[in-house]
This record gives sequence, structure tokens and C-alpha cells, in this order.
Amino acid sequence: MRASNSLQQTGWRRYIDEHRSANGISLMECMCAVVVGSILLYAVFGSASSMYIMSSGNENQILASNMAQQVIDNARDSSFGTLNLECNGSVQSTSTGTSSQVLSLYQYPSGSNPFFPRPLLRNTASTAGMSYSTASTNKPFPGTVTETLTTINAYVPQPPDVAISTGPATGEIQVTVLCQWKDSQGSHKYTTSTLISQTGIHN
Amino acid sequence: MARRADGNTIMEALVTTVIMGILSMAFMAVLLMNYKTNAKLDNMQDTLNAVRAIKERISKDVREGRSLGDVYGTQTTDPANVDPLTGLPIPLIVGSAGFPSSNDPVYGGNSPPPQPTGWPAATVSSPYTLSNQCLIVQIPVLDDHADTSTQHFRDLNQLGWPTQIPASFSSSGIEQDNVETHVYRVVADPSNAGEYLLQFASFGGAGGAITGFTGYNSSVHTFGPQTLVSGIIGPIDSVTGLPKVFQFISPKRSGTPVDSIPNPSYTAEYTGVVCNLEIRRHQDMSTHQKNFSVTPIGMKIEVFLRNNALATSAGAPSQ
Repeated sequence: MRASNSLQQTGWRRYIDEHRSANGISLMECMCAVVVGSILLYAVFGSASSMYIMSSGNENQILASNMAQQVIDNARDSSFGTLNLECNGSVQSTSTGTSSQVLSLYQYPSGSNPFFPRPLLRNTASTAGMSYSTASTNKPFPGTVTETLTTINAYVPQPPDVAISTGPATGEIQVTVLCQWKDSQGSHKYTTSTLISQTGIHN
Repeated sequence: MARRADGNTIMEALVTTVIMGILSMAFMAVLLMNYKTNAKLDNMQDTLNAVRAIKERISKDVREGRSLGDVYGTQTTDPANVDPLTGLPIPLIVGSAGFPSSNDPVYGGNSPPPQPTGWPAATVSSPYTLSNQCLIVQIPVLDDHADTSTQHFRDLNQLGWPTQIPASFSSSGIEQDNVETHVYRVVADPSNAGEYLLQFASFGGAGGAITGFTGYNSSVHTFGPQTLVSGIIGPIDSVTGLPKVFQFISPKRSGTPVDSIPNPSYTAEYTGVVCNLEIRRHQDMSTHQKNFSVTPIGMKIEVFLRNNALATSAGAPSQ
């Protein structure tokens, strides 16, 4: 019957019929089918898994950029004297020092002269009077945020209410924020900085 | 099993059916898992986009903002600062935590602001007030005209200066900044229990009939409410059980955010806005897909006014 069919059929179908075994499929054929199926399934799930990991990475990237922006905003809202105090120990210090702090993400910072006076990512302090869902609190940011103050030009003592139009450069402090975190894709960094002048708008 | 020319037995057919059934179930399970994963990815991306959009929207508004609350308040004097030329205390306007304030030259008299659909009416006696569920930001109204000598003309390439409301239209008797009021409110989502919407409405500032600057159409800038984001689930106030979204910072008084302005006289000192958000978005196309919602994103935004220290407004132009 197969022979008569073979006579009527052409192309790949005829080829398959001629090579079809009357004994079913062999173990090797079965294994090959399983391997091919596994590769296809891996391709399907691998791409979905990669997208999931990338979305998680995007979330951390958004959180990092948001936290960095908060630190910069807070620094811009501070006076030069405050930054000079944090960086060089006093409001009118003429030193050219550098100082760093790792910022607190969930609680109010302890110690004197915190660079950022509030929790940076989520305010989960007991005094905040609010609560996030367990699902959120169980998912911490997998890294740290560091703020560094660097004196570019030392504070220049000036009489009050006198505009500085000529002469030496005025005091300038550079604020740099570095967010570092690790996830399943590896290590990541996000950094940004700004320059705060002694004669800036908030002084 | 040897292949036979006389077809299959019922037993063979049954066994085949059972095996095919098991294989089909496995295949369907794989398909369903893939479908759920895709839905979860969509929701996760949706949540991320919502967080990013709301962060940029509020940050932009607050940075451009002239004041929180209503800048039109009571004129008073600052006893701590004396004008060195006159020896008199320097006069200042104390803002209000509510919009409209009684001294608001545009909405404070007999012209209450339009009532957005579904929002409570805001009047002078019952204004929108800065709170955990309400943020009021006022943006300077800019002129798109250019003046040369005594000529006043419209120039679309000019961004212009912040405009002023003339003293003759001001209840305080002095020229005041012309501002547009943006109100953000957190309201319960009528379609999804336990979730909240962030909505926005704009109330236009004084138009050309008052300021003389005809490039600004107040009615065009009065609209809303628009829903900016849905799926807000927290953080929840431990006392009220409502979302504690907005808080306010006065760098002068304390670094600790407050839920409301403790004294209206202090309003101008509050220049920082904290926006606490916990969002869990789900696709709007199908309510069933809430089941595939991702882990919520909890975060805060902190942004400060920038125009309050820089505001330099222009008086009525030469016509």
C-alpha cells in the first residue's frame, strides 16, 4: 500500500514515506525530538525571562536616577554655608576639603550634619506615620547611594550684601552623587553632580 | 507495538488519547505561563512608565512654581528686616495654604474657580488646601510679547517675563505676581476598591483684560480634572487610612516633612514637596489581569520650588 502511494506522491512526502520505519520511532529519534523541543521552549522562556530581568533593571535605574536627583535638589536648596559646614567643618571655613556620606534610604539619618536629612527612597521611619505594603518593603534597593562634597574653590570671606563682580573666584563646592547597585545583570553605577557657588541664588 | 494493517484497537486509541491529553495539558500550561509572564511584564512596564511620568510631571511643575498654596495672601511687614533707606519694616505678602485665598484677585471675590467634575467646590470659605491628598502649585504666567521703547507687540519667539496684576485689580492695593494655579488631588478610584487616582486641574491666571498682556488666554489654561495616574495603593496613613502622598518641607524650620501647613503665615517658607508613592498598575484593558499585577513600586519624590527666589515680574506694558 505504501508502495502504491509512493508511486502517486512526489517530493518530501514521498521521501518521508520511503524512509518511514514500520517499527515506530527509535529512542534516538525520540531524544532528538525532546532536545529540539527543549531548545525551542528555552528560546521562548529565555526571552520572557530576559525581558523580566531587564524590567527589574529598569526599575532600579529609575529609582537610582530619582534618588540622585533628590540629593541634587536638596543640595541646590541648601546655602553655601551649610555645604561648607558639612564639607569643611564650619560655615565660613576656608579649607578645601572633601567629605562623603553614605545616605540612609529608609530611616532618618543618625549623627550630626547629615548631608541628606531625610530617608532617600522610602520613609519607613516609625515617626512617619505611614506604611508601605509588605510587597514593597520586601524589595529593597540592592545598593547604596553616596554623596560627596568637594571644595573646588575655598570660601572667600566677603562683607555682607556686597556683590562680587571682580577679584578671585568665589567659593564653589561640587556635589556628586554616586548610586551603585547589583542585580542579576551585574554591577551598575549612576552618577551625577552639580556645582554650588558661594554667590548662588540661595545665599 | 507492531504496526498492523487492520487499523487500531479501541485500547490503542484510548492510550493515544490519554497521552495526547497529558501532552496537551502540559502544552497549555506552558502557553498559560507564557501568557501570564507577558501580562506581568506589561504591568511591570506600565508601573515603571507611570512612576517615571508622574515624577517628571510633578517635578517640572514644582520647579517652575512660584509658590505652594495661594501666593495672594495678607500684606504684612517683616519686623526682622528693616529697609535701610526708609527705616521701616519691609512689607511682604503672606501666602495662604488654601486656594483660592480671600485676597486672590482672580478667584477670591465673586469669581470662585470652576468646579471640576467630581471634585468638591472650592470657595474662599472652603478652599482646596495643602494636605496629604492635595498639592497646590502656582506657576508664573509668562508674557509672550516684546516691548521696544513705547511699542508693545507680540513676538512668538519671545518667552517673556512673568507678568503682574496691576495694583488697581489687586485687593492688597499693590502689584502682585500673576500666577496660574495647578491643583493635584488624590481621589478614590471608583472602579477599583482600595486604589486611588492622582488627578490634576489647572485654573488660569489673570488674562489680558486685567494685565494688559494679551498673549495669555486664561480660559484655555482652565481645564481638568485629568487623571494622571491610577493604581496608587499607598503609603497609607496609620491614622486616617488614606494615602499619605504629599508632604511639605520648610528648610528654614525643620528638615522633617509635615502633612499640612501648621500656620498659614508660614506658607511661603514651605518650598519643598515630598511625594510618597506606592503604585501597582494593572492593564486597563481587562480587569481580570489585575491577577497578574507585579510587585508594587514604593518610592518618594522630593523637589523644591525654584521660581520663588527668582521671580521678577513685569508690570503692565506700554500699550
